[in-house]
Amino acid sequence: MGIRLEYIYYSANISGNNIANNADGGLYLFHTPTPGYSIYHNNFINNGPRQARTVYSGNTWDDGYPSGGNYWSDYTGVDIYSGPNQDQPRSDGIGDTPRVIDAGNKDNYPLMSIWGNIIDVGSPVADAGPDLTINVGTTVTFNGNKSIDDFAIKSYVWTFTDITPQILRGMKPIYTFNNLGDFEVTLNVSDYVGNWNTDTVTITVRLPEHELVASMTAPTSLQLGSSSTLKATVTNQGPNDATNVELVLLINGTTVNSTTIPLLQVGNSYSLSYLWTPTVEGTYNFTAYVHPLLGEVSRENNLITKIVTVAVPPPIAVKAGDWIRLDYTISGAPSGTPFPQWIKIEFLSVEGTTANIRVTMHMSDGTEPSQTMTVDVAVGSGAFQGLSGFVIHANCTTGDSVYISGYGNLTIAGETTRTYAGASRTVVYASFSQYGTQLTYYWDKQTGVMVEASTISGGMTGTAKAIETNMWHAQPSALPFDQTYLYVLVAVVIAIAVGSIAFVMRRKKKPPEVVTPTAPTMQKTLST
Amino acid sequence: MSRMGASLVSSVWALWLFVAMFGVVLNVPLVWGIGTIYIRADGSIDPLTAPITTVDKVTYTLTDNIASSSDGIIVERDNIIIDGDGYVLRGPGYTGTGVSLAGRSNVTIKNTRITAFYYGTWLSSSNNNSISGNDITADIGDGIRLKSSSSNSISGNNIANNEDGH
Repeated sequence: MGIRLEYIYYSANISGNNIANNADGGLYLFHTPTPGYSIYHNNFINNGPRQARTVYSGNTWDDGYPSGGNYWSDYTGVDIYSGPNQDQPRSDGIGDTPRVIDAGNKDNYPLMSIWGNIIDVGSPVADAGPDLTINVGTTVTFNGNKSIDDFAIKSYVWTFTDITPQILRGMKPIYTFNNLGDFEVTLNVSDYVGNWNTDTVTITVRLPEHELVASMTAPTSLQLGSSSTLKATVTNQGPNDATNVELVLLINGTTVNSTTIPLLQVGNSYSLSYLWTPTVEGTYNFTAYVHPLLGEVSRENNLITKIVTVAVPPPIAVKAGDWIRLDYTISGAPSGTPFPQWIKIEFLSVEGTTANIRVTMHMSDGTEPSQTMTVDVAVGSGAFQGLSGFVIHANCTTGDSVYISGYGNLTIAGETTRTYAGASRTVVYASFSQYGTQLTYYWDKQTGVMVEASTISGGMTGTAKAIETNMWHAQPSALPFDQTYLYVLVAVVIAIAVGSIAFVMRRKKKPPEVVTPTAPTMQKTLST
Repeated sequence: MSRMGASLVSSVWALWLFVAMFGVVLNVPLVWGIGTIYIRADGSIDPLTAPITTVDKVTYTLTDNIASSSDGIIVERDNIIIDGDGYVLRGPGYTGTGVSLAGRSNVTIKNTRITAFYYGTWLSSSNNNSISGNDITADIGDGIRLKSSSSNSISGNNIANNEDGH
């Protein structure tokens, strides 16, 4: 920055200065006193990114007309008119339109040429910066800020060939090198009287020697008390095999697992796991980090983090006395083996995340085994006759992790609406597949109770589906009577209609009566 | 070889020996000084050997270029003029302040070429001062920085090629 003023309570005069080629800007007025600063007859030349910057309004940027304001190298106005309002014929060396600094600051009379005499006898000295070696695809910010002149540098032009000739302008232009090779970039700087000078910087673009990339697998949320396996992975995406690759897995900045991989070949990956059972709720920062190797230039992808939220699970939404019955449909079961026909889940008591339940299963041979158990939705939901997952915490959403005894952590895969026990319910579902067994659960979202469980294993399929409960009311039919009666009624009406039509048609098709002709003799007798 | 020629050669040898012994062997810079110069409140210059002269304890004039490894000149006296007389006040390139005023008033800094410090000129809680006709360039932070300082004048300076302020 050329000039920076801050916490100034009485005005300052800034005039007659040559403020040029300052990299972070020419003038920064962090505060504005009362009255404001008086800033005029300065030359603001090629300061970046902004020639002048203010926080408040109330400054004066000119000395009135015709004394004028400041010279701005980036002013784009024209000088056709003159006068205090710049509306009179002929030019006057003052721009016709103000040079706007920001919404509350403007130079009403910007100068069209440098203020004062340009004492510029020497040539500028160009400095294109140090040579660079970069990976292909890297964006380079050139920096000509070290170039100097005894007055001011007017232009910076960078030229080189990258398949085709390239021309960049400005003190700090940027360019992305997407081709391999050595690029000689020439900076040409020139001053306000036409003197110029050049300097060359060489950009060497190469393939990275090594490119290790970290990735991770972790849930976004976890119930307090449950466990999850966090996994950090390093992949060698570089052109060379890598040796002694150090992979670290951290939680909140503390290393929980690490390893050194003696050899990681090109294209290969290696993973590190950690079984995590948080005991305190909160937000955790899970980090996978790969120590960069010598010659590895792109290092930002060696570290990846993920936020994992650990929360106390909500209490069970069912209450003591609730029950639900599910009917089984089974196929492929071996003959002669009793199979379940229905199962009933009764909630005997509920407290917090824990419920005492009784599960009764009615078998095809008439027996009804029953078991009372305590389930905790935070750590598992109990098991009976190979079946588990009777209840999970309420209001699960997609992505939540639920622990099912015998199957581990299942992730809620989605949410849908289906009819159970006579009512349309919003349900969440999750699946498990391993060793030839496929299992799919549906739980009622509002209560967390299991409403359907289906399994396919060894050619046998079984589905338990809720048909009756006291936890919600079956929705009455939209019709005032059972549909069977409707069908009978419709059939009767159709039958009557068909019968009537047939009767009418039959009447219309009856033949006309036959008239017997009279004998001639008889007619003669009558006419006599 | 003429007598004049022999005398010239002897002079060159003597100069070379001087530079070798004092400029290289003792690592003395060719411009004066490597530490900070103070203009004390009583008007004295510390150290006394600094290339700054004054006859009235009002106007202090540089008599040579100055190179510093930290701050350049720290002013502790009011109502004075520091005249660089075109000499260079050079910093180490990454730290320090060229001319520093803290709690000062009516100090004028002029005709000084200040370069390669972190701040070229720093005024803190200093009022009614003047920074004029200086060449303030190639500082790492700000060329001129004023903080909590009022009614100062900044005029006729060349403030160029300074870098990113913080």
